[in-house]
Amino acid sequence: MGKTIDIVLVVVGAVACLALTGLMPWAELGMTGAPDAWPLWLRWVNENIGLPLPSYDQVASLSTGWSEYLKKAGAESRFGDYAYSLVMGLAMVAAAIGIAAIGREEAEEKTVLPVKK
Amino acid sequence: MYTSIPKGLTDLTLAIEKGTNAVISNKYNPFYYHGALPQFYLWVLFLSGLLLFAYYIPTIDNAYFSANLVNAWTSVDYITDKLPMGAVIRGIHRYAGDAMVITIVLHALRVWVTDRYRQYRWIQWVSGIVLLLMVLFIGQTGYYLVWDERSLVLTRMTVSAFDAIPWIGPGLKAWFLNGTAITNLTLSNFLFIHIGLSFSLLFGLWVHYVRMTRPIITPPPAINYMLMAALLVVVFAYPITSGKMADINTAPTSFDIDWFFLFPYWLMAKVDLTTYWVLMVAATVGLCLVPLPSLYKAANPIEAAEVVLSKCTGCSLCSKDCPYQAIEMVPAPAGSRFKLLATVKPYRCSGCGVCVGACAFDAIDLPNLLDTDVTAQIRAMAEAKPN
Repeated sequence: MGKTIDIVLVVVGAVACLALTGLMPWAELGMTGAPDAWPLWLRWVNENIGLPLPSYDQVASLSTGWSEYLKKAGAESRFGDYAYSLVMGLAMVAAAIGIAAIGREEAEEKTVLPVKK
Repeated sequence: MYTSIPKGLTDLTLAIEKGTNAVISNKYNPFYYHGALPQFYLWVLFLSGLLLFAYYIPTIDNAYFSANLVNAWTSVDYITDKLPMGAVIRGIHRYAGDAMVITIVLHALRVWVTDRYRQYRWIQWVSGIVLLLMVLFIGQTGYYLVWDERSLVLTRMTVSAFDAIPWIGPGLKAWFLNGTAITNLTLSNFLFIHIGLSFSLLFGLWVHYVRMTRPIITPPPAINYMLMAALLVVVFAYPITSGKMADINTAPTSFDIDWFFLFPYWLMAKVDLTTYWVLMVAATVGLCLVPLPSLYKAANPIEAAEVVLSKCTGCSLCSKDCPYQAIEMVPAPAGSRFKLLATVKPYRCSGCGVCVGACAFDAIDLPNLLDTDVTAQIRAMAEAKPN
C-alpha cells in the first residue's frame, strides 16, 4: 500500500513538474508563446533547421485572467515575470513532493542487529 | 519536562510533529529543521539583495542626472517595472524577509516548548533574541530604502524615537541621519546599515552555533524546494509595489503596515515615546531573562558529570563523544602515569550521560545517576523477567 502511494506520488509529481516546466517559456515571454514572440535565434533555428516550436495561442484566455488579477493586485507591467514565478513555484512544489515520495522509504528507521553465523 | 512550560502546549507540538512524520516521514519533517529554515531564507536574502544592489541608487536627488530625476525611488521603480525579472527578485527579497521572521519566531517557540533554551543553552537563547532584533532592524531599514512616502514617515518616526532617548539620543539621531537632516547621505547610510548589519548577522550566527557540536544549518532539498516555492507563489499572489515618491517638503501621515517588521511603529503611534522605549526595552530584557533558573522549576535538576580522577587514563573518548563540548582534556598533574586528564565544564554539561557510555574505565559518572546504580537496576529488571 505504502509503495503504491509512493509510486502514484512520484508519477503525479513528475507529470505536474513537466507540465509546469512547459508553461515556463510561455510565462517568460510575457504570457504569449506564439512563434512571433520567441527570441530571434530560436526563430532562426525553427525556420532553417525545422525545429518545431510550440504555440500557446490556445491558452490566451489564461493570460487574460492572470493579467487582470495582477493589475488589480497593483502590478503595472511585466506580467509574464509574475506568471513565470508562479509556474516555477508550482513546479518546485511538484518536485518537492516527488523527492519526498522517493525518499520516504529511506527515511524509515531500520535497525539491523548483528547475527552470529 | 518543566513546570514553566504548559504541558498541553508540549503535547500539542509533539502530536503535530508525530502527525507530520506519518505523512511525510521524519526525514522531511520541517519541525526537525526549524533552526535551518531562517538560515535558508538568509541565503535567499543575500543572493536576491546582491542582485537588487546592482541597480539600486541610494540618493534622494542625484545631482549628476539633472535632466531626469534618478534617485532611490526611481531606481526601485526601474527594478520593478523595467528590469527583466526585477519585480520577482524584489518580491523574493521582501517576502524572504517576512518568511525569515516567521521561521525565527516558530524556531524560538519550538525551542521553548521542547525545553531547549536554558542552562548550558542560555547563550543560544540570548544570541537568538539579539539576532531577531537585528533582523527586525535590518528589515525596517529595507523599508526606508524604497524612499516612498512610507519610507519618509518611518524615517521621521525613527528620528523622533531616537531623539527621545536621554543622553545618547542626539548621537543616535545624527548617526541614523548621517548628519542633522535628511539628505543624500542619509540614504547612503541606510544602505550601509542594511547591508553591513546583514553581514554582521554571520558573526551573530557564529556565536549562536559555537557551542553546538552538530548544528543543522541546511534543510534537505525537498524542504528547500518548498520554502522557495512558497516565496515564488506569494510573489505572484501579492505583487510588491511602491507608494508615491517621498517629498521631504510634505508630511504624509498614513501608510500600509507590514506587521512582520513594522509593528514597533504601530506601537509608537499609539503611546508616547517614553512608554514606547520602556515597553521595547522591557520586552527585550524579559525575553533574554527567560533562561534564568529562578523562572523555571526543573522536575529533575541536571547535575554535571564528574570525573573519577584515580581512574581517568586521558584517552579523550569522552571528550570526543560529548555533544556539547563540555569535556576538555588538560595536562595531567605531575607524577601521573598518563599525559592527559578529562575535566568537565559544568555550565556546558547537559547530564545526558554520553560520556559515561563512552568511558571504558568507569572514570566518569553522573552524580544523581551512578553507573553502578544503572547496572544494578538493569540486573534487577533482567532477573525479574519471567523467562
